[in-house]
Amino acid sequence: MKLVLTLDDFNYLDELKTLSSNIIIPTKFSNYSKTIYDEDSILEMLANHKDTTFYALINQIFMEEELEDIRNFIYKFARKRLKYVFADLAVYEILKEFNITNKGVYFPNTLICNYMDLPFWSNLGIYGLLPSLEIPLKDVSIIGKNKTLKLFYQAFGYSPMFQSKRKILTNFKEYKKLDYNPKDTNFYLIEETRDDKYFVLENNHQSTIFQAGIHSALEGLNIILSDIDFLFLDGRFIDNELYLKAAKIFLDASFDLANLSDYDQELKMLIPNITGDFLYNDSVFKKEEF
Amino acid sequence: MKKIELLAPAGDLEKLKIAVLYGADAVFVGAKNFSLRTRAANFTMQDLKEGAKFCHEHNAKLYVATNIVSHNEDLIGLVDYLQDLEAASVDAIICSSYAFMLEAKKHTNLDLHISTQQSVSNSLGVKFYEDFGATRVVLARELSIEQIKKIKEKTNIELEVFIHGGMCASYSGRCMLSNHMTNRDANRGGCAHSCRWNYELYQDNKKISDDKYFQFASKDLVACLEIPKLIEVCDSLKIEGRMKSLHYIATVVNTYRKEIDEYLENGYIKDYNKYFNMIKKAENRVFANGFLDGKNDFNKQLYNMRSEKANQDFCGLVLDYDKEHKLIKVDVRNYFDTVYDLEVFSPKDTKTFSIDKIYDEDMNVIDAARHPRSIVYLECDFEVKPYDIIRIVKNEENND
Repeated sequence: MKLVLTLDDFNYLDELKTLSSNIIIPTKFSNYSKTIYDEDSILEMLANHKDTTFYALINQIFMEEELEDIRNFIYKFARKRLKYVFADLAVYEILKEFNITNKGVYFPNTLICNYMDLPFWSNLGIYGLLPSLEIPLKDVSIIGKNKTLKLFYQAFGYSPMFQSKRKILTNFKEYKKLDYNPKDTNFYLIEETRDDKYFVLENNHQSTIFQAGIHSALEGLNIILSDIDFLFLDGRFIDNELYLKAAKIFLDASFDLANLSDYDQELKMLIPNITGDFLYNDSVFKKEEF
Repeated sequence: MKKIELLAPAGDLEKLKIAVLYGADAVFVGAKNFSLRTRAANFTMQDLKEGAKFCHEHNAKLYVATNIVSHNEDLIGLVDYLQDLEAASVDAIICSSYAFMLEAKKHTNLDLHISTQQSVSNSLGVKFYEDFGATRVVLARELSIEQIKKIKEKTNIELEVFIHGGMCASYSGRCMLSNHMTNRDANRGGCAHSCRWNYELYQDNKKISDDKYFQFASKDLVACLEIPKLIEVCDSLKIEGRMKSLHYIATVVNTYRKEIDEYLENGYIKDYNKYFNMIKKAENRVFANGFLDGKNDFNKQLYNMRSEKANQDFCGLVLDYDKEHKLIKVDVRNYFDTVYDLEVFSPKDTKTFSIDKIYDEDMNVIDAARHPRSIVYLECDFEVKPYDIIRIVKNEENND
């Protein structure tokens, strides 16, 4: 099992590399990110860090007029050692066009929920995929035991609950004639009957509402560790120092599962708003269960 | 003449028949398992066989939504179920789960329609499914007519576009609000519509929304104005609403049927208001035209409004007509009495009539039809047919 980490501040790259040689680089085609790396920066990283596997995060949903742009991006790196994390099937088609489907990692957030989904994707020759976070760890384990391609799992980080093309912050501002910058990154929502704070973001691609708190599967790592290939720790919008410390805890825990609860305690003291929806229980959907 | 399909929803067999009789070219339904909208009545396998037979007898098609994003536990019995659907002569299944697509392809010859839950929003996404062997993609609802046109120009399988009904605020299939806030899985039919709740917006601990709540639900979609352009760029026009009433389905289907027929016959629509007024006779919420005009502004969103507008105009369904005694046999659905003028809404036209008396099943005069699903008789000089709809005529006095 290997860690996969996200790069926010470039100054932290060397420290991240002490923990993992698999680094995700946010790009202008990411569904959301605080920092974006342009093509020249990526080329430089590829040239200067040959001991690292980089993944370009290109997981937005694309409209027709945006296809040429993403095709040009992938074309630029088609013969380079760059992998691609994607959510839109258009990216798969472009990877296929350049004969590099084996560099694709499918990350649609919500659509991979069972073990029989995997043969569909391994038949298409991609490198790996991530299942939904809204299935219990025991289901992830079943998927892992039946996997036919590389299995990644997001074990840490902010997780989106809602992704929309609607500009919900801009639209509310215009409707109410308010004065704020909808592109600021310090908004949150509170539902009228709940106390939870839901971080909300709007960028040029989409509006995103995140689940309350930072998702962590550390306490249940023993359930899935032997069944997955990569543990994805998403550091987007998390303080870099905290993120490094959290990643170190995960790495240490992965070699010392007997003391998992201690590591989990340590993580929760470091980051008090840890959450773990659906780690152990599945959601319901039949009307008699409501 | 350009071929275009009008596709209607149906939550049960009776609504399926109404949809077809009132002008749908195809109907989509859900079965007891594997479909979203678990609160719709949904179809048994026997219902599906009967529904398919009825559709085919009326030159219509039947599609079955098998569109849950399935978890491991939901896969039990999948292949048998898909093979049963094929044996029931349904014309296609609507899928969003990769497992379902793969198993349907391996074990059946069912036509595959790819659900809007996949949020396919460009030509390469359509091509992906074209290569897989799907016969149709239900496009994401975030597309403008221009974008749909460009997709159509570059692809070879059928495209289906929503024209009416509820719209997800999120990219379809990508919303877990209900899951996290209520434990109810939106992608398996349990959506609690958390996007319609009231929220407060804060920035750095300071509340921004003052006396009104922050909301982000979307208005319903009504695409009457866009029908002529849509006919030219896609293959199927879809009405959402498997949980909607029989009256809603009849009204909305018939409205779009008449509009499509007018456009195909004349090449233009003379009066769009006529169709908007027809639509308003069904229970309806505040609406806009979605993303079809390419705009993505606050006029498309629902703010601080009670969106439901209960409609009690639907009195009953005609079961039979006694020509000799000029009596309509009515299956009552909502309260009505002799105060109101009534109209008979049928697939072809609408005629008004008034009543002095209401008779119960024993032909006793009663003061009102009070009980839903009771049988009453009404005097009417003109002939009506089974499945015609009796409803209250709206005028200044009784408009609420």
